Amino acid sequence: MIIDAHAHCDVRFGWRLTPELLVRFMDEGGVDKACITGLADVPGDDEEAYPRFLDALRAAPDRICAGYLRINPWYGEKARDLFRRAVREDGIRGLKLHPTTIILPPNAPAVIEFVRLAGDLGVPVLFHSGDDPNALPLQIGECAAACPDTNVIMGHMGGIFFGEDAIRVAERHANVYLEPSGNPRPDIVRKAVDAVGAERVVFGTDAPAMHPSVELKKVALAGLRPEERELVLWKNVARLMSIPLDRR
Amino acid sequence: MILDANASVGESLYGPRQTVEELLRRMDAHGIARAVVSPFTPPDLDLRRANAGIARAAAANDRLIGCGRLDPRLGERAVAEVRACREAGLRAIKVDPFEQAFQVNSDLVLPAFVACAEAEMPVLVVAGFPFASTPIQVGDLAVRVPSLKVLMLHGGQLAMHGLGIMDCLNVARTVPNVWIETSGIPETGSGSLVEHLVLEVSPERVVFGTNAPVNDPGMELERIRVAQVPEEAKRKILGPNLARILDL
Repeated sequence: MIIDAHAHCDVRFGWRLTPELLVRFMDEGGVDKACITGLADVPGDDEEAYPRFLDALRAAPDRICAGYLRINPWYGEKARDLFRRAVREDGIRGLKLHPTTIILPPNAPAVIEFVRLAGDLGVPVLFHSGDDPNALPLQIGECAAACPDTNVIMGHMGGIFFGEDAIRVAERHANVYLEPSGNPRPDIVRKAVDAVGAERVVFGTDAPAMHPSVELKKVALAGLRPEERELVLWKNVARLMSIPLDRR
Repeated sequence: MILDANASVGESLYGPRQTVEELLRRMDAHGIARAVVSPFTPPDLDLRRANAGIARAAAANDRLIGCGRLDPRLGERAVAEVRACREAGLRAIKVDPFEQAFQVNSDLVLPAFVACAEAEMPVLVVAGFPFASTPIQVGDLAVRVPSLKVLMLHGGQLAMHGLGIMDCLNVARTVPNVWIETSGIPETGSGSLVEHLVLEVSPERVVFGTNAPVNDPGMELERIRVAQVPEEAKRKILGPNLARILDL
């Protein structure tokens, strides 16, 4: 079983990341299920973004198994209402925050408020992290410290230059999980598992912008023990996202 | 025949190390026939001595295409080192604007790059560092020295945010003396930089490199294997394009 903790479906900003394309890439890479997010933050100028996301979530329910709603905290109460309704009524199981598209760093009070709300609602937060000056692991660490009851998945685990910081932040904060998609370092998964244990490393791809085959090669290079592989490749995210499984 | 445009040997001040024998074993394991090999910045910072070592290794084994490392800040001494590299049989020069701390298109370093052009030595630029070697700065270097062949390593994408993709494409489109090397480019799936370059610019402007041992040759070959481009383009990327740049 392999579950991708970080994939995308949306048609926006010149991208055509359809459920069909994602499932094709999953098939090529040998990924069973994927948790997705969109490309547009909601609320926003694109009123179709949320219904489009729900459609994508329902397009291949045996493969696309859970969704993080991509929220723009600048919309305040309107955003809070949408997020609450999404979790309680529409089956959304996570929150995605992309500091560059929402123009807010992870340690901004407005962001912390939503991360706390996610914890109150019992769902994790997937952050984009990396080399953008407002998406730094240390900033995510401050956010995680302020929201100890929220599980925080650090997508890309610090990008090209901030892998060391990402690992240090996860060592400091037990509610931080590391997700290595896109990170080109072949030793990054091994380092993450050695530092914080396989229980807090989750496999993700950022597909279809990134190909699962490349991301799985990186996991293979870590030389994980079978029980570690299971945790990283699906058990951790299945628990974080409450994914029902038939354990095939 | 697979050619690697970008490998390193020796011991790096920053940690990585690889002997010539280890590199050759990695090349054998992945079917790589020949590699452009440069020294790391060594712990004693003596690039001249490191270059002499590469020249000896390349003279002893024709699978290694020797490439010198240069600190282009050193004015006349840098110009002299370019000439010494040429006389020692090295075929290219590699610069790292982070390790040697310069902006790649600044007046400070221009004389060294003019010397490279005069010596008919293509320059490999570690590209994508903010402030120092963003794709548009690498393009500007190539505009300022039009007789210089510039290989933009990592597609200029030493970043997880993808904000440099458009500039890299624009540079490839408008500056004919720039080629794009593929190691570590995060996006490997749909709408990737390599896909845009091949389909919208030319399949002859993309060059395979591994960045071994920092990156893994198997993972880097997988990036090319899964690229959403015609097989004929992949064949050119994996060898013939580099052979033409270096007149092999």
